[in-house]
Amino acid sequence: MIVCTLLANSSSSLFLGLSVEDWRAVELSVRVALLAVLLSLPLGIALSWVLARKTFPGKAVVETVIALPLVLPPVVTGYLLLLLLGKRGPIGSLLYRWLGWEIALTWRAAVLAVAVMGFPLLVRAIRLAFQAVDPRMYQVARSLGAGPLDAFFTVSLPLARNGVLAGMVLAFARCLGEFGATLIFAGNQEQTRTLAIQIFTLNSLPDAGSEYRMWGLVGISIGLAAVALTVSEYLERRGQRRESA
Amino acid sequence: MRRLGSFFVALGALLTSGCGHAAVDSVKMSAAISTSEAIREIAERFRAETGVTVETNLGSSADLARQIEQGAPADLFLSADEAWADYLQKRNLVESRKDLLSNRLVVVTAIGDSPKINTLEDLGYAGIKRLALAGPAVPAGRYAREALKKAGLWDKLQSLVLDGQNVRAALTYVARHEAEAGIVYATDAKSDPKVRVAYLIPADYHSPIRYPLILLAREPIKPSARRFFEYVDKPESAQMFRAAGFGMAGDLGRETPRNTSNE
Repeated sequence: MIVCTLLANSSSSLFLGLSVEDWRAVELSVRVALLAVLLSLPLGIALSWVLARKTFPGKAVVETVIALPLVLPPVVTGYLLLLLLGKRGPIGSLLYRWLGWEIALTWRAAVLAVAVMGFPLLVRAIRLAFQAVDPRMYQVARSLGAGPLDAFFTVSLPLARNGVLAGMVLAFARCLGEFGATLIFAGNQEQTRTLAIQIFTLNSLPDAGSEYRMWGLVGISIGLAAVALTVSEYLERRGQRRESA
Repeated sequence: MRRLGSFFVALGALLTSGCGHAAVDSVKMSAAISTSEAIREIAERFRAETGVTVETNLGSSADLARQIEQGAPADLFLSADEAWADYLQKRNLVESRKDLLSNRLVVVTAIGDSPKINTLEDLGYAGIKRLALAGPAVPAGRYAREALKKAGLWDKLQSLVLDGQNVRAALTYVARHEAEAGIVYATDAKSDPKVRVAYLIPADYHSPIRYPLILLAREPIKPSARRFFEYVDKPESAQMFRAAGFGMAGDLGRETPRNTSNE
């Protein structure tokens, strides 16, 4: 949106060598990734805490399912999402008929695809953070009269916050870089042309100008990923130092 | 520990021993995906008559041309537009070239869906949320964009375009009801029973759709490749192309097919 107003007068002009479409792709990727991380946070925190603290029959299955997007070929994850949530899929058709919701091949699919791909990283980091927190803190709070949710939000979660933040940043970086699942589930269209898809599209055009823009976007990709990883590492290390104090 | 070591050595030996190799005198042809069925049938007939296998590599002409430029071992290339043939010619990769086929562009919708589309303009009104086209570098995508621009509809419909990697991907989007309409070749519409032609786009809305066939410059050129280069022009092959809905280049009144050699 900011980008669009800056370049409103010049539809084909370049800013730092990249066109409006390119900057729009960057902005879209950031927006989609932010939304994806924020939306997966509640479930991510809840699942991580359960996996860190509890044992139950079928826990291994849950862990495997959560880890699947890390290991499956991303296009497979995309196809699975399309199969389930497409207009003719078991869940998608119900959502469409009852609520009029279309998910596949819209910007919502882009958010969901990247969220699914980033979720295992989110859970992995947050679970480690909870595992590093002394469970007695929570028990002490409870023994002092706090309800379970109260104790969780005022004691356990704050103690794990560096790990939670590290997980969020890592998942954000993964969401930013997502390609295969997004391409299949959300398609290559204006409302879903994220950074990696725009790079892919530019790569398919034979002219030199497109190639230059492609390399520009590749540079931005690398830069964003490097910054996110550095921040995530720092937060994780800070968390470990804190929790062992 | 030693047993583990020998296990890895055995595994390595197994993985690096290549199994299977192309038939000795096989011809490799990269062909625009819109010609899939026809080319496969013709290749099958060629094999029956000569014993030579023609391996077909199908994709968008854009992807195929780039593969060839990067060194893909193709002997022949059937492009869906002149531009990708020129692309290779400019890079001195062409030994021989001739126009082979022609095609038409159509608007398709899925059977059982059918938004009311009787003209190109209807695309802007018929409740189309997604219009499937091949990508901008793909011939079918280029022709479609030309037609939409000529009809003054591009600005309006641009944000609805769903890009397929090639024209058959665009066709599949429509067949699966993932896009309400699409623009593909008449031959693609004919090949898929789940899709119907809503509108035949007038030929003057886009550059003439010509498919050049290229014999690629190789050291040396396989005789069987030259043979197939001629074979696809024979009456029996022409019959198969026409049955799929293609026009033959000769039908357009071009007396001499372009036979430009490497310069």
